[in-house]
Amino acid sequence: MSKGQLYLAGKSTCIPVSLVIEDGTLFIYQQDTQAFMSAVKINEVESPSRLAGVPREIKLPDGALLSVLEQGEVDDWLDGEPRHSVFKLEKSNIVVVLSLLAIPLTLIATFKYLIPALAITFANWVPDSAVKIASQHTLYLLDKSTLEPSELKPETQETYIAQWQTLIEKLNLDSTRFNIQFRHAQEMGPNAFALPDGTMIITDELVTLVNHDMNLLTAILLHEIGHVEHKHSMRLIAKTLGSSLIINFIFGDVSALIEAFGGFSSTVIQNQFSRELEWEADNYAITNLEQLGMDKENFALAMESLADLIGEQSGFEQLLSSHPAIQERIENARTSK
Amino acid sequence: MENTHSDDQSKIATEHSTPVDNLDFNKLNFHGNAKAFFNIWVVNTLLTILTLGVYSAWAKVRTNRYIYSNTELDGHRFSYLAQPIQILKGRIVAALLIGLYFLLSSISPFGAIFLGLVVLSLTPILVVLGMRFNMRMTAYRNVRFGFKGRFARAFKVYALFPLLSIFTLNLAFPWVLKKMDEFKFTHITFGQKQFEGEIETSIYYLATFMGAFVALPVLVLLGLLSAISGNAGTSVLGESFTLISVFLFLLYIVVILVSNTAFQVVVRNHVFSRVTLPEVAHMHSDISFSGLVTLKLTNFLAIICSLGLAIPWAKIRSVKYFAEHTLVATLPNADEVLEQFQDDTNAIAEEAADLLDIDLSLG
Repeated sequence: MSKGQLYLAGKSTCIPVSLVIEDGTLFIYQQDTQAFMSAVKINEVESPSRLAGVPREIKLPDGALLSVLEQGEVDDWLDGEPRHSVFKLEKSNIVVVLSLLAIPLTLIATFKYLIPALAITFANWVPDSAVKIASQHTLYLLDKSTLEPSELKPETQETYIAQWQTLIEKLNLDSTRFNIQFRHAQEMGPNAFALPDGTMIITDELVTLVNHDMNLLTAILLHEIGHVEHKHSMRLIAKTLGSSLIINFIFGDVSALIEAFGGFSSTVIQNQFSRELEWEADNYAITNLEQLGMDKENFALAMESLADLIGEQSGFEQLLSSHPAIQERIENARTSK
Repeated sequence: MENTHSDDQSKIATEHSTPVDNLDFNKLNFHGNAKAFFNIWVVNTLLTILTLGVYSAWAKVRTNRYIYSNTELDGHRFSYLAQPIQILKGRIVAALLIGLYFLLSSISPFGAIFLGLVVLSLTPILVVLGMRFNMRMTAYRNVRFGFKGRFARAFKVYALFPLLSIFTLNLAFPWVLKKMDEFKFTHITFGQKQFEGEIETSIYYLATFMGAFVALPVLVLLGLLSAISGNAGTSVLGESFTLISVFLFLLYIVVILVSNTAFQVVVRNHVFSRVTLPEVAHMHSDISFSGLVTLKLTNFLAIICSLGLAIPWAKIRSVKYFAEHTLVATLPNADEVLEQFQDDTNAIAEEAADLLDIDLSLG
């Protein structure tokens, strides 16, 4: 015999009751008078699944609620045959210890392999028109804010661009896809970047930095073509979205304070992605330099001229950086293959 | 506890317009423990990762059931009634909305501005749906809570007022915060009975002042430190610069925590003393600034030092703290009053509301 509390439907009154289970039927008696109240079969009641240390809440057919704190026969009656249930997993210390080991492993697997793989699928699925709009709007905003028209002579620009178009065709790429442009960028300084639709911007400052060395500029340009060819922008978007949703699902109900740290760790994760993409673009540039019959040392030299600007980074800064350490990139260019 | 609160009780009793004598306040008891919850949390987390977030709906129900069903007042437990499927549906919708927002804003920076406005006007709807869901999924003694706030009113309080407040250089913002709380608390129902109460605007100005007052000295210190680190940063001391920036980041979090706590303590204690369920129950909150700050800081440190493993322990501690500093006095004829109101239950209206019963939060 168990004890419980019965809350009648539409009332807030509570009646202490005794419970007897016989032949699969639950009989409910008033506790002090032992007067019979009702009898229910298992298929007539609704009850949420078992949870450690929490009273069983049983919704009776007439809307009344029966609450039973004691563990034992009522649990057996509700749960029937011993089945696999989450309750059992939660109760087992072995499962908990194994889960503690499995959580970091599955987290790493998800962020390192699953999400990047899904991101590639996503990037192939994004229509070209969306990519075009994204690129045009981004360039428009940059032109309005930080970029100025190039101060290089138009003839110089044309010569460079014509040379690169020939190179691009040599690599069996569709040269109409790539639209190379120069900009003057005081704030940004020496830089080159690619927009997802194949528009590539090279700053005057970069051209000056490498003393108009065509080979070095080509090495950098190939790195940017690598970004475009591997659809890095769209992959990065998909990875950011996917990982932030998953972080939310897993740690979402923790307080706002942890979210500040969540923001920190998602920056770290995102930069990890971004650095992988940089490596991919670097290796693309190195491979294609060789294919063009140029020395891969050009890439190393281009990186070295940038390295002087950046200076050395500490390990912690590196964690927060979207690009790999420049020394490592130089090393990679010199030692590859 | 009975003796120490007798002063408060008499003070509370005189504050109310209805003449209520000898209110018998009882605190909420929380019976959960960190060990049992740790196991639930670990299994929840693993299954959530393995199912790429789908299990999070089941995880949320189990977490909330553990907390609600272990919270007891006058010998009766609270219940959390949501079904995982309801939460899953809401999460799918929320994830789609967030995904859409994120994609559109990354495709066009202009779209982001437009979407910002859409989000601002969606906020009131999300507040109402969220409150409605959370309240309807809460029950005590087989009687459900509910929420009767309307979208139109929510739109004023959560979109229009904050927007207008900008024109007062946000001097009116504490008043807006009061309006938000008033909207939330006075539209909660228990059975068919609705909560009521006059919340004082001055308390929100006091709370804002307290929050700023607590934060100010540390902010000055922060300014000094970043000035020092600025000097170091330009030299070759790369390493020390980053250590200082980590320290500043941590300090910044602590300042926000302490400042928020100062605000929260003042506001919660006031709101609980003013909002009542007429003829049924009065409430009282006696959280203290030192108590809550200690709790939050130790939780924060424990979670960081344990790499997250202390999350369940921290959660249980918080719930326990808030429960034990929440007191409720049930009035003598509460049962009859509730029963009389229960008869008005309109089954059809309840069904219609069910269609909107989705929880659009990700957390």
